[in-house]
Amino acid sequence: MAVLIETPFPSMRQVAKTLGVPAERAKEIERLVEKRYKSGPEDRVLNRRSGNKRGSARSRGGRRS
Amino acid sequence: MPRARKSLFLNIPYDSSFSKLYLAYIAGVSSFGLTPRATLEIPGGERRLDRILTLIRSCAYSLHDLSRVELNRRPPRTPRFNMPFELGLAVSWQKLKRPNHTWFVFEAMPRRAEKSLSDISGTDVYIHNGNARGVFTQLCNAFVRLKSQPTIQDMEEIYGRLADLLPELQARAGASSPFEARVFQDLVLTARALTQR
Repeated sequence: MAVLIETPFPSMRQVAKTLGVPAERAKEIERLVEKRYKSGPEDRVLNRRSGNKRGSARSRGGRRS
Repeated sequence: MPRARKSLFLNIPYDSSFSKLYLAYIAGVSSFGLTPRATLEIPGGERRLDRILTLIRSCAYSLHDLSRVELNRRPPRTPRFNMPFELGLAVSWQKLKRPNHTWFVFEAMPRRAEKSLSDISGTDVYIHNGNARGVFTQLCNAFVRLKSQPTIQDMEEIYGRLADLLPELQARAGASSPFEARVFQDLVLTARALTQR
């Protein structure tokens, strides 16, 4: 039988604290992920997860500049 | 909310042939808003058994992958007892101290766990067939979220990106293997960054 998870998603800061690593390292990882994927055309996970309802220019029928 | 409610003890083998499933577990577990923990993240100096018990106690859930319990190849050929042993510790913790602790058994082959460890007969064993997609499917059978339920595709995307970033994370850590403390922690942080909501 499946277990129901009702807890909210932990913040990056909380995850870092749980793992016992400095918050600054969590920020470094966030920057790395942002740099690698945020502006990429294939960035579906991050945009969807951050509540970007507009989607990419291409999905709205526009052109990427 | 106690921190333990968000953590899952990942009891898996640490060897190169398991590295894809290792990434799959980190991606999948993180997609459910849980923080994977593993014995490899804790620095030495403490007795290993104490470290394992501390980790199990700090987690609401534990996941025990018994798919590599077979004899290892290096002589003298011995079965790998660590995963079933740690499963036993988690079961004891749940039965004797913390009834809320929930443990899961994952395997690659149907009925093998019941054969090699008949004490767990009657327990649901989640069969992942030895591949990442199987791990994601079985995690979806083990866990449900009312809000933000991840899809297999979500998990596959995060998995793909972890695999993509792994060489960089290893280089930053000066690590030759993904099974090193800093790399594991950075993979967990990366997976969380990729599942930002």
